[in-house]
Amino acid sequence: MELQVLEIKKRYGSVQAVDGISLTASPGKIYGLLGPNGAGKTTTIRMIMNIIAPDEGQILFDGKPIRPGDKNRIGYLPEERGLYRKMVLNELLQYFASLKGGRRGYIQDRIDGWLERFDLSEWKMRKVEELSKGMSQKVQFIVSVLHEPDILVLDEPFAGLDPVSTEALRKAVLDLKKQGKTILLSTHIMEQAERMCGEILIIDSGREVLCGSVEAIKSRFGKNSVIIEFDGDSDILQRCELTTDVISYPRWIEAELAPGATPDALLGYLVGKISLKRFEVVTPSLHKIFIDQLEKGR
Amino acid sequence: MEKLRKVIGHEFRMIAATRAFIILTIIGPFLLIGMTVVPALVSQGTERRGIEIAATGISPELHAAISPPLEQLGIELEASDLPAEDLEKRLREEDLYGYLVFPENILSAGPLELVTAEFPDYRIVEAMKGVIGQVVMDERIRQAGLDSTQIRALISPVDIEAKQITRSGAKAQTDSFSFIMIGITFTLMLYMTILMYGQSIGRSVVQEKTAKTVEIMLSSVSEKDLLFGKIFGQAAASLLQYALWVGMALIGTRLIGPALGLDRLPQLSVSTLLYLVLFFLLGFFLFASIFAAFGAAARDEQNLGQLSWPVIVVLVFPVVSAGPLITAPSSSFSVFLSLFPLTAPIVMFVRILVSDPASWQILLSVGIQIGTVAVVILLAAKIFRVGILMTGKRFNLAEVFSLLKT
Repeated sequence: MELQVLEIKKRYGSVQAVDGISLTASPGKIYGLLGPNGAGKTTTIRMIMNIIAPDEGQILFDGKPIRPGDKNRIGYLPEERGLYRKMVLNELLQYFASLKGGRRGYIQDRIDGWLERFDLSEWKMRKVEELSKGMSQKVQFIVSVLHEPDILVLDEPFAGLDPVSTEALRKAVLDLKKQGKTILLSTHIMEQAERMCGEILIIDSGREVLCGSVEAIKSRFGKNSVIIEFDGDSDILQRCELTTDVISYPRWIEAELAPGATPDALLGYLVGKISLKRFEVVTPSLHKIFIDQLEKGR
Repeated sequence: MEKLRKVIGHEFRMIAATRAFIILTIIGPFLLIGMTVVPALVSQGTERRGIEIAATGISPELHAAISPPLEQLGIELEASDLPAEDLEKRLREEDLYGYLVFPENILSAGPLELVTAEFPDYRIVEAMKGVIGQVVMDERIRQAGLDSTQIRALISPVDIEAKQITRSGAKAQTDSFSFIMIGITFTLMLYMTILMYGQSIGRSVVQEKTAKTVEIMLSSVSEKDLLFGKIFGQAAASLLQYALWVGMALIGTRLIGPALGLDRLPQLSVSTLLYLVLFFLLGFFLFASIFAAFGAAARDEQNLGQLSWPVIVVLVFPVVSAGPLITAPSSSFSVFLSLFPLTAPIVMFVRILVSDPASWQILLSVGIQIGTVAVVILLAAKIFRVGILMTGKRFNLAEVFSLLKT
């Protein structure tokens, strides 16, 4: 099922929360909706989910506006996580799946399968309030996929998860992609988006900043970045005239070469000043493109 | 409709399967029976037995004349010549209920003095006043050379036996005390249940926001399904509870009451019970919608409490006005309140319970209430739609109403 968003707008009082956003998410692909906090991602998603109506624009499912039954074909993991804490886990999953039109016996098999996949089988008959935060988050994901939706909308799915759970969830999402589901992934963690998404849309202040396939975007920005891993004074690059836009990570640095500067010149400059472990010429990371574009837009 | 049915079922289970609901369902009938039986017990002569009262300054003849009738009322009058200090000591030792000081010449002198350790029971005072007054009056008549039997027959008071024509046309003997008590009981019952269930919906909506389940729900059902699912789910649980309570009250008044010899318990007719359910439902839907709208706008339960106090004040008004409503059910004040939509559910039912209001007034009241419920539900749905996704903002009443314009 293809999801098309055409020039949607939404205003809250004097704030234009979403201003002419368009995107097309296709089956078997993960589409990334990226942006800083308050960019309008959640409002866009709520409009796609038909929770709120756009002031202008259209949202089409397989080329047609949403019909009442279409909600059953979409799975949703909202950013605001919440479950009925007093319910027994199995009943809770049955209830949410039944609201999406799931049949009881069939749904139970799927519940058992997903609980096993996320190591939650022993919690099946326990109350939701007994689950840890990470477990609750995995349950929330199960809720969004139990009814086998054609479209899956995941709003910040990895926020707050430990590395093991993050990996389990990432694999599950990639499996669903392989099954031909249309997946819309909203996140502000660029590394995740870069690893998982085929196409992305970066928005800020409700407007489109950048869109297209991850590869095309990265190549558009050329191979003028270097990644340097080293021991020593990291300020050396801040003072260096051969680089601009230096982003420091805990153990490495990503820097853009200044106009006219070559990687060889930079390498020559660094030798003897720091103890180099890695020096690689790369296309800029999505993270760097994201920050550059947001700064440019503002 | 299918989704609405599922939300109703879920909400019903979430309420009816809780310990609080089960406990309240079990103890509710006992509270109600207690509220109707106890006043009847009180009014049905619970004369105190074994009351000992000392009498000082009483002549042996007078003592002989008033002791037997007092004894029949459970009051033992003991002639005493002890000084006041000794009698007061006996009072403090709880050996005596009180002592009565007779003046020297009772036929012409002023009042007798009754000294008691506790607040004097008006029934004992009235009993003694009746018996002693009769004996003294007879003696005065005799001393005047008249025939006391003849005089008594001449001055005997006229009694009024109150009977009320019921809707079926039958004349039923009424007991105003029981009437007032049952009126107050049902006023309280309607007030408490409408408030309790209404607030329960308000809290349930707020919790949907604070527990952050609202978004996942709205991705599956419409906000109308969620709102009406909550209201009808609570209505179903409330009706179940009401049905059990009314059943228990019927058993209490029709079976247990007579078995205990309480034949003056008011009998609840089927039509009265149908009216009770009708006005409960009207009141329930009206206030449930208001509380649901406030719940959707409120940031948390504290904010909900602040928003809903004006509604509670309106709801409590029939309770504080219960006296005039029950004793003057056809006054323009009562008629107005039985037509004013926010007080009508309680007041119209109480008027039907204690009087026989004109059919057009009942129909008009029901019509006004149905119309108001329809309008309020529509407005509530609008506030609910906008408010339910707003988190973190603390609204005041004016801001809640401003959501209607969005």
